[in-house]
Amino acid sequence: MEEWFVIKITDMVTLASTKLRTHRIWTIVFVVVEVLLVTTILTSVAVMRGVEKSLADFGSEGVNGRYMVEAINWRHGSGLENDRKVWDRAEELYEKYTAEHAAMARELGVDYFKDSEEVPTEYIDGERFFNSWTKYGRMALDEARNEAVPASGLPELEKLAEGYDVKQIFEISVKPASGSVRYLENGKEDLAKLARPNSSEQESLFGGVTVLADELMEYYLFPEYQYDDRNIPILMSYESMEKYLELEALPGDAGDEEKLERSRYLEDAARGRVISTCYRNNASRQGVFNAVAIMDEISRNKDNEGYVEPELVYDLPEMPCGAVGVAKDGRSEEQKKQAGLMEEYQKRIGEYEAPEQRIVKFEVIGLVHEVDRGVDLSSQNLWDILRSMTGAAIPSPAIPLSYYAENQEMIDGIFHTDYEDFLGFNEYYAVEFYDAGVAREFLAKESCVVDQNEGCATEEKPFLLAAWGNNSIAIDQIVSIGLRIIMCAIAVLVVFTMVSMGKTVARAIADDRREMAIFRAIGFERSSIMAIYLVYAILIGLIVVILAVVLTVIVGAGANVFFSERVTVFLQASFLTIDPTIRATVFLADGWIFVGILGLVLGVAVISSLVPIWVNMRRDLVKELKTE
Amino acid sequence: MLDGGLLDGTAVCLWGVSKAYGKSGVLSDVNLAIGEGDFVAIVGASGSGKSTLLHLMGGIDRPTSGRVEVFGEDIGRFGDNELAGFRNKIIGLVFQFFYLQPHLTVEKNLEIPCMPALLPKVERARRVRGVAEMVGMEDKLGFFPAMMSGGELQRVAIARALINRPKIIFADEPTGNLDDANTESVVRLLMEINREQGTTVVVVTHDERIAKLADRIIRLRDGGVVCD
Ligand SMILES: Nc1ncnc2c1ncn2[C@@H]1O[C@H](COP(=O)(O)OP(=O)(O)O)[C@@H](O)[C@H]1O
Ligand SMILES: [Mg+2]
Repeated sequence: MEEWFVIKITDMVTLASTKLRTHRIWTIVFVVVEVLLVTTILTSVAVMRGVEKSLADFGSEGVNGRYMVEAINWRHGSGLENDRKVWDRAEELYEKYTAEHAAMARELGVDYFKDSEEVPTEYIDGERFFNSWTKYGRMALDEARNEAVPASGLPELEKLAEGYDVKQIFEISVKPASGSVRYLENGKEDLAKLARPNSSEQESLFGGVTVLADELMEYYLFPEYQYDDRNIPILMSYESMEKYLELEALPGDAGDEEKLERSRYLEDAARGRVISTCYRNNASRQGVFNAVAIMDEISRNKDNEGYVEPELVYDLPEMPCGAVGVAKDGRSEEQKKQAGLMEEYQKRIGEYEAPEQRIVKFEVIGLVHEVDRGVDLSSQNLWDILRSMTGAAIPSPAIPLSYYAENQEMIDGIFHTDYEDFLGFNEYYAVEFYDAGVAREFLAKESCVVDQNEGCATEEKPFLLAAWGNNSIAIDQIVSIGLRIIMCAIAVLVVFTMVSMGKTVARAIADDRREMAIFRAIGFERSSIMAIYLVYAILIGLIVVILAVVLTVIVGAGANVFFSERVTVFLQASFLTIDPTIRATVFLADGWIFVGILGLVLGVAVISSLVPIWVNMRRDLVKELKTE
Repeated sequence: MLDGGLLDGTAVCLWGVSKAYGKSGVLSDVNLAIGEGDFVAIVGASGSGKSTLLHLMGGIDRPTSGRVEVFGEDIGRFGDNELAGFRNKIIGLVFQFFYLQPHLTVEKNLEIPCMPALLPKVERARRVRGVAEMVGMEDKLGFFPAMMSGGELQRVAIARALINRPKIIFADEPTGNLDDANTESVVRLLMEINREQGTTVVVVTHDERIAKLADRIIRLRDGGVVCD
C-alpha cells in the first residue's frame, strides 16, 4: 500500500476552505440550524446542571436533599364504616355499656339517662346511619380494623425495608391537644371567645404537635439559637406565625420578593419569641362554657320578675387561665350529695375528668412553611409545579424529640389522645435512604395500594409509602427525565447532522466533479482528493462547534446575569433557606460534557461525510474533462 | 518521424492504439511517435478524436487496446496512483477552459501541482515566482481568477502546467476561448517554452494558423492519423 494522504494537512485545509465559499446558502442554512441545535443542547445541559447544583446547594440546608419515604400504617377504608356487622357490633357495645352504666347508676343512686350517651347507629327517615365518631362506633371500628389487619409499627417497617440500603428510620408522632391551647392576648384570656360554641379551631393556636427527631428539625431552627427548658421549644409555621401576629396573608399573586421579605420579617419577629398560652382540658373548657352560659342567662333575665336564678352560679377566673370559681352556691345538702355521687359515678365508668388549666409557654425556635405535599402536576403553571416540588414540608408545629423525651409527662398532659387515628397518622415513620433510586424502588415496590373501600395496609404490605419532607425523589426523577429528553435531542442532533452533513458533502462533491477531474489530471491521488472533502466536513463541524460554544457562552452569561437573581429569590422562597448568601446557579457549563457533545458533532460530521466520499471514490475522471 | 529515433529521444510512442466507447470506436490502430523537444500540433474536425488521443498520451485515459509509452515508460502498466504521480511530475496539462480554482489566488493556483509533490515551502515559492515570471504574471500573484482576462488566465494555466518542470506539455485547444491577440501571445509562449526549456509540446487545435507554426502536424480523421 502506498501512503494514503499524500498531501499536507495545510494544503488540504486551503483547498477544503475554498468549498466553504461555494454552496454558500445551503451551507449557511445547515450551519445555522446545526449551531442552534447544538447550542440548545449545550444550554439545556448547562441549565440542567445549574438546576441540579442549585437544588443541591439550597437543599443542603434542610431535608431537601435527602431521600425520605414516609410510611403510614393506613388500615382503614370506608368499607369498614359501611359494614353492617360493624354497626351491629357498635350497637351491641352500646347496649352492653349502657346496661352496665345504668346498673352502676342504680347502685350509686343517681339518675341515669340513656339519652346522654351518643347512639352509634340511628334511623333517619327510615334509613339507618352509622355514627363512626361516637364512642361505641369507634370501639367497634377499632375492633374490626384490628381483626382485618393487625397494627404495624417499627418492627414491621424494618422487616419491610430489609434488603434496601436504609440509612435510618425516624419515628414521627402526632399528638392532638387534649383540650384547647390558646394564646393569651396581652396576657389576658378571652373567655367569651373560648366559650363561644363554634369558636373555630384556627383560634386554638396548637391543635396538636408533632414530635420530630432533632436531626430533621435542626435545619429549620434559628441559627445559633439556644432555647431554655423553661418553655416548650416549638417549630412553628410561617403561616401560623403570621396569624399570631395578626398579619394579613399575602395575596396569592404576590411576587417572590414580597414573599421572601415577609418570610424574613416573620423570622425576625419569631426569633426568641415566647408565646404564652392557656391550656384547658375539656372539663375546664366545659366549666368556662357553663359559667358563661349561666351568667348570660342571668343577665338576659335581669328584668324578668318570674325568673329564678340557678342554685349554683360560677365565677369566671380573674387571673388569666385560672380555675372557674363559685359565686353562689344555694344548693341543698341533698343536691350537693347528688352532685358528689354523680362525680363518683363518672369516675367509675372512666369518664371523669377533673378540670385542669395552666399557662403553658412555648418558645419559637424556628419556622417552616406549610407546603402542600406532593407535586401538583395539575397546575398549568410550570413555576407552580416547580414551587410545589421544591418546598420542604416538615410538619408543624413540632417539638424536638430530645425535649419530649425529657418532659414526656408534661407534654402528654397537654397533647395526647385516647383513640388511634383512623388513618394511622398518629404514629408514622420516615425512612431515609442513601440513594434516590433505592428510595424510588422501595416506594414503588413496597407501598400498599390505597383503596377507598379497603384502606391500604395488608399483612404483606402494611404501609402506605410516599415521598416525605421534600421532593428530592421527584426532583431526582425530573432530572433524569430531563436527561432523557436531552438524550433524545442529542439523537435528533446526530440524525440531523448525519443527513445534512452527508448531503452537504455529497452536494459539494457533485458540484465539483470537473474540479476533481482536474485535480486528478494534475496528479492528485483519489485518496488525497477525498481527504479534502473529509477536511471540508471537519471544517464545517469546527465552525459549528466554535459558533455553538460562543453562542452558548453568550446565552449562559446572559442567563446568569438576567435570571440568577430571580431564580435565587424563587429558590429562597421555596426552600426557605435561612442562609441568604446561597445563590442559584442558572447555567453551569460542564467542560467534559461540552467536550463530549462537541466531539460527537465532529465525529458524526466526519462519519456522515464518509458515505458520499466513498460513493464517489471510483468515479471516472475522463468523462468530466471532456466538454463540448 | 524520420529523424526521430524510436528508443532514444522519443517522448511519446503509440503502438496500435485503439479506443472505443462502448461499441463506437473513436481511434483505431493508431501508431505514432513524438520526438523529444518537438512542437506538435494535432488537428482534425470536431469529434475526430483529438482530445481522446491527447488523454491517452497524457495518461488520463487508457486505451482499449495497444500500448502507450511516454518517455520510455509503458504507462498502461502503472496503477492509478503511480499514474497520478507520473502525470504530476512528467506531464503538464493545459485546457481550453483554463480550469483554475476561482476561490484561490493565482499564487495558490500555481501551487496546486506542488501539493502532491510535497515540495518544501521555500522551493514552492521559488518555483511559483519562476513560472509566473516565465509567463509574465509575476505582478498578478495575489489576484483572483475573476479579476483577470482570458489571455492572462491561460498564461496562469500554462504556468501551472510548468511548475513541476514537466518533460511534455499537452494543451487541448488552449486558444479556443481567446481572441486573436491573446491566441498569438499564448502560442508564442508555448513555442518559447518549447524552444528555451526543451519541453515537448503537443497542442490540439482546429486553428490552421497555429498548426502551421508547429514542427509537425498530425491530422486525424475517422479514427486514424491521415496526414503527418
Ligand atoms: N466518454 C465518452 N463516452 C462516449 N463517447 C465519447 C466519450 N468521449 C468522447 N466520445 C466520442 O468520441 C468522439 C471523439 O471525441 P473527442 O476526442 O472529444 O473529439 P474532438 O476532441 O476531436 O472533438 C466523439 O464522437 C465523442 O462523441
Ligand atoms: Mg476536444
